[in-house]
Formats: sequence, structure tokens, C-alpha cells
Amino acid sequence: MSMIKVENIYKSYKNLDVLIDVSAQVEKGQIVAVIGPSGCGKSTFLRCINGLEKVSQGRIFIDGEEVTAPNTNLNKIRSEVGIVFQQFNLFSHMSVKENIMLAPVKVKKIPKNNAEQIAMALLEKVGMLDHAHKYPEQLSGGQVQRVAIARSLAMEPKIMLFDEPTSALDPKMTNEVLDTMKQLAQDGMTMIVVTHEMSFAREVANKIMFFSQSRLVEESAPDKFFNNPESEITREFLRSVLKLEV
Amino acid sequence: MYDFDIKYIIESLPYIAKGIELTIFISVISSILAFTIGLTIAFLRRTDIKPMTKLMGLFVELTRNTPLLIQLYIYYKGLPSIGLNLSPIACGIISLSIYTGVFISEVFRAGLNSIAHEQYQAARGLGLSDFQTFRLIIFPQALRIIIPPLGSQFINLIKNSSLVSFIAVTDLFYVIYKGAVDDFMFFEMFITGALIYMALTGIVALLTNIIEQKLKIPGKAGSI
Repeated sequence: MSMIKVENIYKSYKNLDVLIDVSAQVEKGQIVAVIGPSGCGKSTFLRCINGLEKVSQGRIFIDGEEVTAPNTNLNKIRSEVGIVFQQFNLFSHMSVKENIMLAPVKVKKIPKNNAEQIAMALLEKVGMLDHAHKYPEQLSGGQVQRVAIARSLAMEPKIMLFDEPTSALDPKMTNEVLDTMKQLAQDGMTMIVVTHEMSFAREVANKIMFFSQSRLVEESAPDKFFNNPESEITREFLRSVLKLEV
Repeated sequence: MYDFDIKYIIESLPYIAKGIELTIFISVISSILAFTIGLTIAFLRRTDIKPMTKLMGLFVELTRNTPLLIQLYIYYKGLPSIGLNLSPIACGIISLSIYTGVFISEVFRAGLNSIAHEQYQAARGLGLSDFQTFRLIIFPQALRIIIPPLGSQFINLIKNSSLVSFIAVTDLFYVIYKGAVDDFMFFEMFITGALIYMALTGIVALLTNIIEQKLKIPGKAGSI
């Protein structure tokens, strides 16, 4: 059974079609890079997966459970699917440690002592142990994003969703965050990453999904995608972002 | 030259103290109720229930666009006619709480709306329920932003409480006015009254500043 199964989803706001007939599957442990021009629907696609956006039509399953069913327990599904945002979105009134402990304590009802141990272990993993007592405004963008990743991991998710996690960062901080994500990929986490980092997509992902004008245009392995893409739209996109002939 | 009669004020102090006591009592109870009413209205206006948000919007406009003094008389004269006989003090507290509550609801609404939608998405993304998100994420951040204007509302409430003297509540303004008119001590009583109101509102201003500093988030710019 696929970890994520998306069946013919549509999403529209009033008269604007954001997603048109998108179907896809993601297997356990797969690293999927979702790429495409701005406004192509890739972020909306990501947010539909954990129900932060409601689809207009179609069905989505996570580990066999239907996200799009009307009576589904979305809070439970979301607690099993981590999401990391472009704008980090740490809770600014809480320290780094409190940010990470919040969901395990309030959603999973884990005792505070245990949650604190989990938080400290994760902070060590993302290299932020020394900053446990700082507040988000006292950290750099790259540090904040690594804490945001740790915050998601504290819920021990089955899947991690990344919505342009490095788009607001300078190159040095981008590398800090990408390194953390690479480590996560090596640990076997199932990941969907919306990104403009072509090198990350090429090196780390084992599947590329290319969106253009609200449609999933191409879905293939990185080698094939970058060296021998099927559609003309993809070739044009790659020419513009990689500035080379494909 | 006007002869300022200090002796008269000193002799009136026990009488004035009774008025202060009642003004403080009415202000404290009304502040608590107004805060609760304000938060409730602001929360209800954020729900998806259209009739509820419309109704609350209408209630806010009706209340904040009419003089408090008229509302005071409507509760004072109107409630008995529907069989609800309340003391003047109770009527005073009800009208002050509702009037101020409506203004506080607007303060809350502005504060809650100023919290980025992404904070909401991040909280829901972690599996927190709608109410948990409001209570643990949105409200605590909004509260920090609205403390200064909230303090102003409580200061207004204390000053507005002087209107309850119109429905025969013997509050601070009532005793001052009575002394001024009955004993022709206008200057003595009104100056004394102004100073006492200033002291009471000054305490609120001071508390507001202390709370603002206490809740300050480390590293965050400005006084938030």
C-alpha cells in the first residue's frame, strides 16, 4: 500500500482553478521533490495532503486513511504528518524548547518530562541544543527553520511535508537546512519537498513531480527528468531555471 | 481671590471615601465582565456561523454608536418594565460592562486579526484543535499586542462610571457633585474629584505598563 495516494483531485477558489485532475502516489521512504513555476499549484497540492486546504473534488489517502472523507479526524492525521513552511512559523511567544514540546504535550498527551527529553534529543540532531532557551526572534532564519523541522519531528510523523523550506534563506543558511533534510532522508523518512533547489531535487530526491498551470505535467526519476524530460513544457522550464540546453 | 477651603475637604473625606469605595467596586466588577464580554464577542465574530457574526456585528454597532447615558437609562427604566427589578448599582454595572465590552471586542478583533494566518496553519498542521490553536497560539500573541489599548479601555471605564450617579448610585462623582452643589464648594470638590479619578486611572496605567513589560517576548522589537 502506498504511503500517500492522491486520486483525481481538483481545487479551485471561486473561478480560479489551482489544481486540475492531479493523481499521484508516494511510497514509504520515498523522497519526492515537487517543482514548477510560481503559482503552478504545488504549494496548494502539498497543503491538500494534510487537509490544510480542502480539495474541491477527488480523494486523498494517507497510509490507507482517507484525508478527504467528511467524517475524518483531521487533527489525528495532521499529528502524523509534519509540515514545514517557507516562513518558518515558529510560535513567537514560546522558547525554542516550548515550541517543540507543545504538540507532543497537548496533542499526544505525553508527560512534560518525556516531551522535554524528546525536544532535547531533536535539538541535538538539528544542531540547535545550545539555543533551547532562546526565542525565535533571537535566531537566524536558518536556525529557526531547523527548529521548525525539529518541532515537526517531535510528533514522530510518518511523512514530512516541506513547503519551499529554503526560499526565504540566504545560500549559507539554505545549506544548513538542506543538510538537516538530507540527514532526514537518510533516516528513511517519507518526504515531499516543494522546492526551487534543483541541486537538492537532483541529488536527494528519488522522484520529481513537475507542476505547471495547475496540472501535474510530469512525474519521473531525477535522472530522466533532468536529462531526458518527456514534455516540452518541462524542457522549457528546465532551460529557464538551469540556463542550459536540455 | 478664591479661598480654597482645605478644611472642608478634610471634613468630607469619610464621605468621599464611601464614594471611592463604590466607584472602585463598580469599576472592578465591570472591568472583569467587560473583558469577558469583549473576548466572547470577538471570538463569536471569528466563527463561520454567519447569523451569529451578523448579529454580533449589529450589536456592536448599536452599542458603540449610542451614548452610554441613554443606555444607562434604558436598562434602569426598561428592565423593570419587563419584570426585571435590579438595583441601580446592578444596572450601572450591566450598562458599563456591555458598553465597554463592545469596545474591547473591537480591540480584541484587531489584535486577533493581526496574528499571521501562518501561525494558525502551523498550529493546525501539528494536530492542535481549533480551540487549542486559539487558546495556546493566537490569543496569547494577540493579548500582548492589545495590552496598551486594552488599558485605555479600562481607564475609560473608570471615568465613564461617573455616569451611574445619574441613576442615583452614590459613587465618587455623586458625593463630589452633592458636596459641590449643596455646600457651594464647586472648586474644592471638583478638583479633589479630578485628582482622585486621576489616581485611580493612574493605577491602571501603571499596571498596564507592568504587565506589558512582564509579557514582553525576548528578542522581539518594540515594546511588544
